[in-house]
Amino acid sequence: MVIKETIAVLSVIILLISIPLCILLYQYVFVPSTYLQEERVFNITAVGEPSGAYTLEEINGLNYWWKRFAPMTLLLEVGDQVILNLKSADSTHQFYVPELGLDPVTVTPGKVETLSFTAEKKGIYQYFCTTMCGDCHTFMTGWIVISEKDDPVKAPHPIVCPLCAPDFGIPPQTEMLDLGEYLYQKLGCVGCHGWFGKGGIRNPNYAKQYVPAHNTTTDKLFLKTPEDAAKFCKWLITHESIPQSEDNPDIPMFNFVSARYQALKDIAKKGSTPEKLDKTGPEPPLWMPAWKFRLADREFDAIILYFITLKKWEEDEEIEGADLFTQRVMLPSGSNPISERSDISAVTPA
Amino acid sequence: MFNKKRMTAVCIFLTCVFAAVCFSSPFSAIPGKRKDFTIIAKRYSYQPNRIIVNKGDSVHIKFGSVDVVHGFFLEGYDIEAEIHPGKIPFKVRHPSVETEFTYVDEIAFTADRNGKFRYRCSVTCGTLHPFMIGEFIVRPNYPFYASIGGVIGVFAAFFFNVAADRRKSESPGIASAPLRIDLFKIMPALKELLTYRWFQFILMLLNLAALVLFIFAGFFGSPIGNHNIIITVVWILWWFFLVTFMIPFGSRIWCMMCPFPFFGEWFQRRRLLGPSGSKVSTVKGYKKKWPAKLSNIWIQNILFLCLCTFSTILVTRPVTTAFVLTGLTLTATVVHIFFRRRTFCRYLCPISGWMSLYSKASMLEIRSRNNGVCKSCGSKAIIDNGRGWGCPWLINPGKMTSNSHCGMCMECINSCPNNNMTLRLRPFCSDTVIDHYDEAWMGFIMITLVILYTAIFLGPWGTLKEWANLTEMGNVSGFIIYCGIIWISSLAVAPVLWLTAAWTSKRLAGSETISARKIFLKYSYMLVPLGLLSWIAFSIPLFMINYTHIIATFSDPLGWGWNIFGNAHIHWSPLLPEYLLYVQVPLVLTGLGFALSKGYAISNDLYSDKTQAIISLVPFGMLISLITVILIFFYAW
Repeated sequence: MVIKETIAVLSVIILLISIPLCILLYQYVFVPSTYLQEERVFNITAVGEPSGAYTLEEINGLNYWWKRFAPMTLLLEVGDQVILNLKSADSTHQFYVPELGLDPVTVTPGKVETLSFTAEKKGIYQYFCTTMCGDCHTFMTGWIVISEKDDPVKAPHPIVCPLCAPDFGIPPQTEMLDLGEYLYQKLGCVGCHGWFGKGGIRNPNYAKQYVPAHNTTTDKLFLKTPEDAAKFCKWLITHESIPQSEDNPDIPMFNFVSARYQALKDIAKKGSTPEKLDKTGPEPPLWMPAWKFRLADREFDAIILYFITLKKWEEDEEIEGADLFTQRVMLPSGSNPISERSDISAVTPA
Repeated sequence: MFNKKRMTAVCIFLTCVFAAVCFSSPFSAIPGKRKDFTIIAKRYSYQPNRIIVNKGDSVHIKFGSVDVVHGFFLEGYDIEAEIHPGKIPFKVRHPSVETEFTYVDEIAFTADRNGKFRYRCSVTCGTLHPFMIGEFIVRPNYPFYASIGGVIGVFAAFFFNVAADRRKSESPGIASAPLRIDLFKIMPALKELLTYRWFQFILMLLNLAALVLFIFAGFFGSPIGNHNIIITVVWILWWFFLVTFMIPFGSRIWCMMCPFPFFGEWFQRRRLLGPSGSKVSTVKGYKKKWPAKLSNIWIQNILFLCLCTFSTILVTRPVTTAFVLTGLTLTATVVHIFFRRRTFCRYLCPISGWMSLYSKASMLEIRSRNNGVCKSCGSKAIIDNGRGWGCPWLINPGKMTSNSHCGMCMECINSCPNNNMTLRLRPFCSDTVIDHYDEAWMGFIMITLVILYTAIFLGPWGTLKEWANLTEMGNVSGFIIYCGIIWISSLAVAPVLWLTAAWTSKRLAGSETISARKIFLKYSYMLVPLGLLSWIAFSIPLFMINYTHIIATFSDPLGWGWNIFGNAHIHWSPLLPEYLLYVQVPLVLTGLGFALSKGYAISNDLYSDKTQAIISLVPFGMLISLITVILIFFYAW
């Protein structure tokens, strides 16, 4: 009787210890043993809002709900044999490093995708998430830095999604300009087109090299003077749809302007695939999404209206309706990660 | 078997079903038209969430997604799509014949099957992904009308039969002894097994092992519910088994192997394998008595409702489930230390409350073979006597008349010196007595919740899911409305309706001696068979739709990328989803049938006059049929 009871007690104790122990042994002893000694293994987790990052941090049930995960910067040395294990902590993502010759891999929840490559050439390479994964998507990118042993390459600052930090609050639909600015930031357009439409974000192997800027929209629409631009904006605010035959504003070549406007709006609605610079090279990672399912027609107007106001005219003060042109700053207080980002994009690998 | 009574019932039933189908069908065939739709997927619903076409229509669908990658799996039509936000072409395949997806701008097919087919998200898109559902209805919707006809049929056939019964035999027939099969008599080996101390110990140990694994997985595993074993096994597999098999066929057999009270009971007994031989053993601990005022299932009712208010979060977030399981284990242990025996299980465990109600319907019972033996014995069996522990559930097994508080722990069988306790098989719904309001309210809570959950989890309404999904959507006012719906409808609306039925019943039957309160309480048993079977009808889809997740998580329990058995990457494919209706509707119709026939038995106990008995049943019969109709609307409309 006593023996049986002892066996029972022992089995309870063994069980309580062995389950966590077995899990940990499998994960931290067995799994690493399946790789070769010289391989450098990185376990990367993709996480969408609010972090918008590929992270090297471990994401589990306990920390997922409150923590913002740091984007990874992969520091490698020439000659490293690298294995990347990619998994997702929420929805579907896609991992793409065009300049390293790594094709896009779709990272779906529940499956670990493995990539392996050898670090060959010194430089800074950018990785991207290339399937839209929520509002932080355009900031879900970072750096793979390959150094030579005696000649380390300085790693650029990581790219952090600034969108979820401040609560913008949705402006009313009637405040078109505020709405445009809000949407431009909230939807992550800023991630690729830059703050205040400045552009300057490099798109590898894209025919024009950089993602188009939007502070030149006024020129693209052939609005040549501040007065014309102001008239057009006013007209846009008061009219539900374009083009209209009656009460057209007194703007030179208005039909032409409105045709350009329509074409611009069409690109925003239907998206576009970037043209390759080197036809045999990799697909450019940044592409213009089709926003037609996400936004209402009027919201496209609001965004383009915002672009028109981004133009810097020389004689700002004298213009009628200049209040439209007030620049607003909606950046989170303190750092400005974005400006750093565009600086660095210009210094990428040779 | 096929007596005249049954034949008439079947005939009436089939006539009603057939008539309803004819009623639904326009006699002129509508020529097929082209119907165009653009479905926008958004966490966690589709817009439009219901698509209605006519049979023969040529359906053209385009897709768009506004947040993350979503899927589209249309059951019954063999179509699976993957929708990437920002891209106008989408991927599509016919899952039964193709493994690879192709890019298209539009899918087109002919609506050639009648009825309701659901489209679901097939790509994990976030917490509520398994409940992202839309509905595709091809009219005329024969299955729906047939089901409604079925309700009318069951109702009509039942009342026709009892009315005929009344005309034929006014004299009460000799009550035949209730059907019971003594399992220990026909299978002595079963008794050997159940009373073998290691048997229960090993069952508990296995469940404890699972509990430890689940809690570990919940805290440290993947935050994605359908890729974490704690969610797939607890809320899909365990829940399905508990509701569909354990309760109806095994009563509270789960309580026998439940790991929550393991440590507490170990503390009380200081032994794991039964008392130590012949000497009288005593149970340790502070052995306090639970306050008499709280010695009912009200606390369990409220705790269960609290859990259910957060169920959407509970069943989709591993960490929430892990906290709840840990909390239950700790509370159980603490309560076991201070209070006597299984006080926690009887008065506090939120799962135990509804099990105590539904186990009344179960087909298994532990009872004494001969009441007289127990009376003359001097209740030695309910105290620890060295062979067994005496009933941990604080009841006198010899006098037991209801399954409610019997945890099937087999201690009375172990300790009975006269071999008088036994395990018996019996017909479904054999205990028909509800004597207390707490149990009646549990019945209301359960039936209301199953209706609400069918709408929330199996329905296409994204707003409801958004309200319920507080922690992700942050819609506080929506969540308050949602709480209001759950609490008010289960604690107030359902009882008020029942009370109305009770008043009407009293008026119609015209008897002064029986109070409306008594009618209210007695008839509330009718909610037990219908409730249990509609919970089964709710749980079966959970399993059939999501079973692949269970298989996958056995290979990769923590979502860490393991592949122990090689099937971690099994593709999600639901099991015959388009035929779910043909399981659900017969189940609730059976529930309705049982509710009516048990209601008739109850009314015969209340009234000596058969006409009065039948009349008094009518309002309840109508109310219970209405509940069935509501459920069928969710299943088939």
